[in-house]
Parts: sequence; C-alpha cells; structure tokens
Amino acid sequence: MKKLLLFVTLATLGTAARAADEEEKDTAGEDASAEETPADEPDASSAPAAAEAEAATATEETIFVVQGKPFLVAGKFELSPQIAQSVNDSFTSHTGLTASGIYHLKENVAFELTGGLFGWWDVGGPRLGGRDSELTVELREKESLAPERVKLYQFPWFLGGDAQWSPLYGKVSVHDLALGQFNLYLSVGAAAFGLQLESLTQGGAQKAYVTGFGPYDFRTTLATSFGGGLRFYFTDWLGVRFEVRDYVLPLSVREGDVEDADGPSFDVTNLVLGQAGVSFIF
Amino acid sequence: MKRTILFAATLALALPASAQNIEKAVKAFKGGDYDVAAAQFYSVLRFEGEEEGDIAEAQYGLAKSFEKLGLPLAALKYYEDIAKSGNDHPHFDDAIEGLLAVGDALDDDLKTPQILDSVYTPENENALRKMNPEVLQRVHYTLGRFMFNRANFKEARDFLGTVKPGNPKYPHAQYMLGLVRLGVGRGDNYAPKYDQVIEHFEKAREAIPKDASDERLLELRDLASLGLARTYYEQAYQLDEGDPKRNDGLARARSEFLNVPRFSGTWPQALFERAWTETVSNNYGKALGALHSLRAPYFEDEFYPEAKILQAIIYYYNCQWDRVNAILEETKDSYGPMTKTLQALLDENFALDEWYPLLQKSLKQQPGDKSSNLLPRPVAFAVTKDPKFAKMEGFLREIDREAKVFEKNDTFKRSDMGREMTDFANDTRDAYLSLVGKYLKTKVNDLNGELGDITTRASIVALETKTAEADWLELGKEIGGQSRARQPRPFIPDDTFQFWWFRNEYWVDELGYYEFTIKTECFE
Repeated sequence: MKKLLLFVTLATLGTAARAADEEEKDTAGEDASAEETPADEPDASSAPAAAEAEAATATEETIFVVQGKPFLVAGKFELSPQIAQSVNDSFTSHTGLTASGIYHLKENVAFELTGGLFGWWDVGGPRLGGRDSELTVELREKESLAPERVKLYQFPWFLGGDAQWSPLYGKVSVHDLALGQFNLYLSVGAAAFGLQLESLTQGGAQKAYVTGFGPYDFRTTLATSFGGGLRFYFTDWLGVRFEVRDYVLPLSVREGDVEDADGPSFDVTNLVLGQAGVSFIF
Repeated sequence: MKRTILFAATLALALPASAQNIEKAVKAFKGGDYDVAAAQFYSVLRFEGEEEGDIAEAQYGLAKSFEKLGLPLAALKYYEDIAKSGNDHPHFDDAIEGLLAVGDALDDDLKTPQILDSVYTPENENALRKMNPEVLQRVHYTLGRFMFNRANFKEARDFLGTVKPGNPKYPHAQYMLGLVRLGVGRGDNYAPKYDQVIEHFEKAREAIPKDASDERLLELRDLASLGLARTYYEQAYQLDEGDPKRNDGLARARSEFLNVPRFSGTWPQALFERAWTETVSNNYGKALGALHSLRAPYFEDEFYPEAKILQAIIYYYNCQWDRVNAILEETKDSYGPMTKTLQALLDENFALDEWYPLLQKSLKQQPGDKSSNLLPRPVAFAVTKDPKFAKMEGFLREIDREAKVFEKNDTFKRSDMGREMTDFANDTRDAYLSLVGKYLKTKVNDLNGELGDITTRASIVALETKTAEADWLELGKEIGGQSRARQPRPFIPDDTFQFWWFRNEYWVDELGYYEFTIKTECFE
C-alpha cells in the first residue's frame, strides 16, 4: 500500500492539469468572484489595517464538522421530576415539586404534560399551597396594611401541557474527559391552577381560609404558559433540566366572594417558576 | 485443572524410580507452591546421576512451574530444551503446547517460531501430526507467519491454509493469507488475487466475535478492515476515471476506512489513507478534513510527513498556489533539518546496543526540542509506533521483569537456579538489545530515506507549481492577492446530525469528522 501511495503522489501530479480542466467545466457559467470578497481600494490611512484584514481573509479556511448526535431522542419518552420555586415573589411565594412526562416527536420538537404540587411547612405542619412573602408579612405586621386580596391568591396545585421547540444545541467538555450535550428549548402551553385564599385573620396553628377558597374546594383558573430552558444529556438515558416558566393567570376576587375585602379586585398574575430536575429518557 | 491432573498422574508414574526431590517438587506443584516446585525441579536437573525419566519430568515440571508463576520467558527456555530433544521425550507434545502458550503470552514473533521451525523436522513430523489437531494448527499458524516474514510465501500459504474455522488462530491465519494473496513483501511481479484477498480479510473479520474484548483480536479486526480498504483502493485506482467500478471501489475503500473505530490504534493510519482515497475520488474537502484531524493535539505523537505533500497536491488541484507554496516551504523547513540530523546519527556508526538507549533518551525530549545528538522527537515516537518494534520492546521489558523476579524472589535469589536464570535473562537481554539495535538502525535509515523522498517530492510539486504559475502569468491572470471568505454552511442531512464550525479549537469528539469547503480557483 505504501508503495502504491508513493506512486499515487507522483501519478496524481501528472493528472493535475486534467483535473483542473474538469474543475473549470464544473464552474463554467458561475461568476467566480460572486462569493468572494473583492479587495477594496484602500486609502492611505487605512492601508495597514486593510493589509492585515486581507492577510486574515486570505488564509481563512472553511472548516466544519457534521456529525451524528451522540444521543437521539426522537420517538422517545422522558420523565422528569423537578423542584420548582417562584422567582418573582411580591406578595406570595410558592415552592413545590413537579413531574413531567415528555414525548419527543422529533429531535427538536416535544410535547409535555406536567403536574405540580406546591406546599410549605408551617407551625401546624405540612400543607398544600403557597405562603405570604416577607413583604406581605412586613406590610401586615409593621404597617397594618394589606395588598389587594386578588394579589394574595395561592396555588396548591396545577396541571398543564405544552409544546417545546429546541432551536439551539451545544456541548460542554470537561478537560476532554466528559462531554455533555445540551439543547435550549422554548415552550408554550396552557395549564389549570388550583386556587386558595387565606383569611386575613389567622387564629391558631391551622391555617384559616376564606370560605369556598380552601385547598379542598378545588377552585381553579386557567393559565397560559411561556418558558425556556436548558436540557443537558450525559448519557442516552440520563440528563438534567433547568427551566424558567411564566404562567399567566387571570385572577379576580368578586363582590361577595370575600367578606373582609374592600371591594372586587382583578389582576393578571405572572407566576414565574425556576425549575431544576433530572430527566430519564426511555 | 484437567492438565494439572494429567501432569500429576504422569509424574506419579515416575515416582517409584525417582529421588525424593521429585516427590517434593510434585507435592509443591500440586499444592500450588510453584516457586518451591520450580526450585525442587531445578535441583533434580542439577543432581548428577538422576534417572533419565526423572530429568524429563523435572524439565517439564520446571517449565510448567515457571509458566504458572507468570514467567513465560523462563518457561520458554525449558520448553525449548524439551522440544529440541525430540519426540522421544515423554513431554514433547506438552512442550509444543507450552511453547505456543508462552509464545502467545510474550507475543513473540521471533524466538518461538524459530524453535518450532527447528522442531518441525522429518524426524518429528509423525509425532507432530498425531498431536491434537487444534494444537497442530496453531503450530502451523506460527510457522506460516514465520515463513511469511522470511519471504517464503508458498510455504506460508500452505501452513496457514491448514488452520480451520473454530481454531483460535483462524482469524489470524486468514488475515495472513490475505497478505500473502495481496503480495505484501514480494519483490517479484506477483499479480495480487484481489477476490481471494477480500475473501480472506472478510473471513478474518467475521471470525472475530462481535463482543470480543481481547485487545489483540480487536486490533486484528481493525487491521482486516484496513486491509480490505487498501485492497479496494488498490483495485479501484488501477481503473480509468469515470469507470463506475472505480467509483464503487473507492466508495468501498472509504467505507472500510471508516469501519476502523475512532481512537483505536490503527485509526490515525486509516485517517491518513482515507485522505488519499478522498483525494483520488475528488472529494478534496473531505481529504483536507481527514488531514486536519491528524494535526490535532490528540495525534501529537503521530508522524505522517507525507500528509503535507498530500495537502499541497490538493491545493495544487484547486490552483491555490499561495497555499501550495506555503505548505511546501513548511515541509522543507520541518523535514530538511530532520534528515540532516538523522544522517549525522547514522554516520556516527553507533554500536548496535547503543541504539535503544539513544531512542529512550530521544523520547524524553519536549515538543519543539531540537538536539543534534538525538533522534528528532517525532521520528523517535514514530519508531515506537512501529508494530514490530513495539513487540521487540515488549519482549525486552519482559526480560527485565523476569530478571527482577529471579533477583528478588525469596526462594530464587540465593539459589543456583535464581543465579542461572538471572544470568540467562541478562544474556538474553544483551543478545536481544543488539537485535533491537539492528532493527532500529534499519528503521531510522528507512525513515531518513522516506523524509528525503518527501523533500524531493516537495521539490517536484514546487516545480509543477512554478510552471503552472508561469502559465497563469502568460495568460494575464493575477496570482495571489485575492481574499477568501468563509464558504456557506454545508448541507446537513437531517436533525439527527449536528453542525459545528471549527474555530481554531480541536474537540476530541469532533476528530475524524472535520471537512473543508474548498472552492477551486482554477479558470478556463
């Protein structure tokens, strides 16, 4: 083989002119300069810079990699438990757990169903729902003020569905020893949220709720969701997810719903959740 | 276990006529106390007046004990004694089998085949033919390889052809038969039997289980793929351009080169040779991409000087004269001084045993070091990648390891056996060092010739380029000065593929996948 290769070196040189002719035929009819950057006539002041730029472009090679993805997900399912924390807390705060089931229709398109529970551990023990933020507590205790009732809604649970699209992908390398693939995805969907509203007067260890707005009254509201996240795959079955999702909820407290309210109130609330979890692909 | 029982039974038969030593030796052997057994068997051999039968048992017992102790070189010495004493020896068959086993453990292409060749005489032929067919076929494989290395191709073919499917050496024999049919190593006008070559290489590859984990088998599978690729390439290259069979052959060659697993030992060679296949197929972007991979830091210790020439040829085809000239200058600057250094070292007329220490010193150089008293670093590393040298070095290491065992083992170090075996290891080392030195000198000489040849070819390409540039000037075409913009993003088959630009940073996972977009600058 070596002899042959050596022979090829010399033999191919002999055919160089013919090869060039063929190339000429291939490019006939094309404007050879169309895809090239013509060298502009430089003025005296910009000459050194132009010369440098020319040197840079003259040596530019077009080098790329097209390689099969190491982990394919099209047609696969993904289960993803996550922890979630509201990040735009003003008057209420939510902490919880979510579980998502995802079907990857294509490599970059997926559908997701998610269910989540929010809860907190108060003096009375664990319970469903959110909690008043520090600001709300401070307003109430130091200023004897309270926000509009509509801003104090808490959400014990939610169920949602969304479509995901991954427009970008990337990879990370740790000293050439570990390689992780990730993709950035955007999602849009809808959800149903459970509602609860605490009484302004709390008398004991157990939380008191406005009549008809307790955690087991199953008051609900619909929401739309927008989000985005990063999904890292370390193997073909395991990954991690980081996500931010904005649930937009139209909320209202109508006349008569709440006895101690000043009046009806309406709001469009953005519940922004930061989520992190693991993904199991199968 | 079965072998141990048979061995013990054989020794038991000899007991009535034996001295006490052999009884003790057998007892120690049966108890798994192999160093004590070895010492006892050795004392039987040293005891004058010992019965012939006991001596024979002691020879085999000693060889077997050494084998059990993981001292294949020491075992080889005593198996050799038995085998060379002829088929009258009660353990002749066992010794042949033992030789094969320790030869395999040592990956020995030199000593074991020589011993077997000296034993494969008309006097022993009948005894050998009555042996277990599996063992006999392994003997034939070893001898076939030995004959091939001695350019005795007909005998090599005859020996290798007797190794049947199911034998552990069958894939190896088929691979060697492929080389024989291809005419590797022949200086005459042998016409390769391509169909048979392909059949042998494919049989070699198919005979290796898919889930094989033995490194030597995996390497053989890669070598078979490389052999197939080279055969398809060689066949296709002889056909005229435009012949569909040529295109088909080149496509098969490319596919076989890609069959060589990434990061395997033969991968860099496959990458380099695929670059040639892509060039001949006019896939210049892929050819440059394969060469680009070889320039990655991962391949720092690989040495493919011819890659520069190929790169220059590709740019020559595309009339990118400035790039051709730059590469040729770089080639001359890199390899010219290397050739001078190598020639000066060859002129020094070092003693043969000085070459190996010289190589070891040369390997300690840092990248970029240029000492005129040492082999250039890339050349030194290229030598260590040579499979034949790697085997020789492995053998040398084994000699040193076993010498240390005999020096340090409590049972051996104060005994005559320990001293004799240490002396044996040292003598073997001295003899072997000269052999290694001879091979190294030849190898360095070959590499020097190769580098000289590269420089010559660089000059030829430079001359052709000057002629082409002169033609351009005559036609009023400007040379150089044009800027080159990055070409558009290439076609990506579907979303199961990823695309990355190369941004002057090599990623290990991308090696082997690089491609260039090269736009011809030739004109009508």
